[in-house]
Amino acid sequence: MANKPEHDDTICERLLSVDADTDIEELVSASNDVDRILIHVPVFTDGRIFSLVRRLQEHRDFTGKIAVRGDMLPDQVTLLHRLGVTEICLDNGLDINDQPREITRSYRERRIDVVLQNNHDQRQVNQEAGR
Amino acid sequence: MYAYNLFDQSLIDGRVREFRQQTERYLAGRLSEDQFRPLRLMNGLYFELHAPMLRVAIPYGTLHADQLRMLARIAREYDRGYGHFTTRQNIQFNWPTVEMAPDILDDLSRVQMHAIQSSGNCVRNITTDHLAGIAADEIEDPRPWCELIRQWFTLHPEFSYLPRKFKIAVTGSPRDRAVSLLHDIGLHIVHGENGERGFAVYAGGGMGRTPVIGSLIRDFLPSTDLIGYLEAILRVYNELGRRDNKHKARIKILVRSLGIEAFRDLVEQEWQRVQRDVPPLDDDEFSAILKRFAGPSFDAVVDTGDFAARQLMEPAFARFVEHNTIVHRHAGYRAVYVSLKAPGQVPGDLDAARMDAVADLAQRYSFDEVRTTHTQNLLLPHVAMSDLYAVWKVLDSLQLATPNISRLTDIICCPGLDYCSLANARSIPVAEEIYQRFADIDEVSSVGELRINISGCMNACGHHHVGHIGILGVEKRGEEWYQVTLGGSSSEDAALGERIGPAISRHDIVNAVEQIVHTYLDQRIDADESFIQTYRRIGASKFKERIYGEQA
Repeated sequence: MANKPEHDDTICERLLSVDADTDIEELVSASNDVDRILIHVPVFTDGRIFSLVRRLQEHRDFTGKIAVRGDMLPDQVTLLHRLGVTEICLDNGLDINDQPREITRSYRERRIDVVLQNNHDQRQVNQEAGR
Repeated sequence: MYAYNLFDQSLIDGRVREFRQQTERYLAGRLSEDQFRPLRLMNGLYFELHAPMLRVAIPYGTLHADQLRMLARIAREYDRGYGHFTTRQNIQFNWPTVEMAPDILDDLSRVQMHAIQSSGNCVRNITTDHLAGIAADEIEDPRPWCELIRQWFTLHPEFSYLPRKFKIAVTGSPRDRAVSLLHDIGLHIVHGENGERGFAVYAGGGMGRTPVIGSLIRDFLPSTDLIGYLEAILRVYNELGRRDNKHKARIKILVRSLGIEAFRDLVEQEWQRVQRDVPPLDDDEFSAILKRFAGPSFDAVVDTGDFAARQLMEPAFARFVEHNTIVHRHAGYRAVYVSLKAPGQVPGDLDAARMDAVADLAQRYSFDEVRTTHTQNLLLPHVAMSDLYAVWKVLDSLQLATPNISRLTDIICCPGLDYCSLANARSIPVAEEIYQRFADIDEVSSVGELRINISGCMNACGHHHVGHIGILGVEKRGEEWYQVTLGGSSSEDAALGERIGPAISRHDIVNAVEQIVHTYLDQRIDADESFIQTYRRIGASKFKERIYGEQA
């Protein structure tokens, strides 16, 4: 399970370092006020990382960054990006840039874009109505 | 049939380019065999016993004539001139090379087809009732819902590396023709107390080496919440499904180990969270999908022509009508089965020339539409009764009119040891011998409805657990043996067959089938009592005695 958050004076951030098979409930409850969570992926076929990342994003009290390091395929980097992970490091010798130049956008992303746009439009309408 | 919009097309086009580059990286040694495996499987490409195998998706079993013609062309250009229709309504080509796969996918994309998620540890092809939109007892056509689910779980970033494969089936009729209770998730369209539309949700069903009938986890889920609820189930599975043992990795094992109550609680909790991210479906979104399903424009009044007279004049045509056609809910039409089960024919196989011929029939007589069934036949869904005789004539000349639908020679059969690297025994030659033994169509007719399912190993691709007679190939000391189960059913009264005794040798297995059939004929009350009804009434003992003697 997750180590306790440590305060690191050199980079002034609260870092939590965990494995991808960590218990999600425990991680989520330990994630409050953490600046960055680093998740280690032992083997690229273990898809728990994707649910783990999404659960963290959904958790309101976690506002930090998620970094992922481990055995991933370059092709999976895109999936992680889509779930909001910005920092990824492959430690299996594969070149992170050796992936198809164009990665297909899914129906889910398109719907999320549409919903976000609608919410945005609605806010504008509300603001204008409030003036 | 669903017609692609620009986004649908750009998605599959993009996927082809992506897979071409992934294949190039593998062939250039920049991806290892293990690293390439999930990437190729998610595009339908297996490495099989003799050669790669490409499984092409046929979403909810619907094809238009040009799509079937494209499958014929692929069979001719890249394969050995035929394809194999599977029990999940897809088609497999057994002889392409790895290098060819991107080109095949490119060709498929031109007719709005693909192989996305036809394999791999992800959400597979959504299957449904092959009589969708035809059956009189249907509450609502399930296909638009299948399409909605297909879209949402295509390339879904969270669920592309699940513990194991994940199969969903949807049915819109009380009569379950989609084997839904033997799926990871089975969805039944139901109407609530005030007529509102929703689903009964079953989870944890499956075949394979641990067959389980799905459990009801929600008796009414409003249809607007469908996607969020499915996401919640998949997330619980992704988080908690076993990854240490491939044979214990399906959701059925998780549901069983947690217990249905605990599993349901976890799903409900997860659903509360998921809903923040997945807002309920609004009417416009579903209407947008519905609009792309252009239904056939049936003639209001159909002259049935000489339909009745032809049946009187030609008994063979009358038998075909009785056994291989289904009354359509639109008066004056019938759905016509194209039987892929005939002597000398591998169950589910079809050569390119006959694919083209069936495509022509679909175009001319069935509003351009063909369907695949989980029983490995094809269906021309909307044929005017006045055209039935002409259709029968063509099908008969192509040997696609054997009047055996749902009869004992309409065998579901996996490829077995002839093609599959997992198999322990051959299944195709057993099916072939059963055809020969029951070549007399009068005898087959008199036996009535009887489903024989054959699998060449315990992975159960031939659905042997739910055959009225199930045959499972096993290997003993280098020889092929067969275990027999009786009483299985894949319908709304789903049941797993009961093993009746020790395995039977290759030499004796078809004799045993014959003994079982004769026992049924001796025991049935009358010709109206089907095999499964007789079995449920009298149990296994009489059958065991006949096969194994008194000591059984």
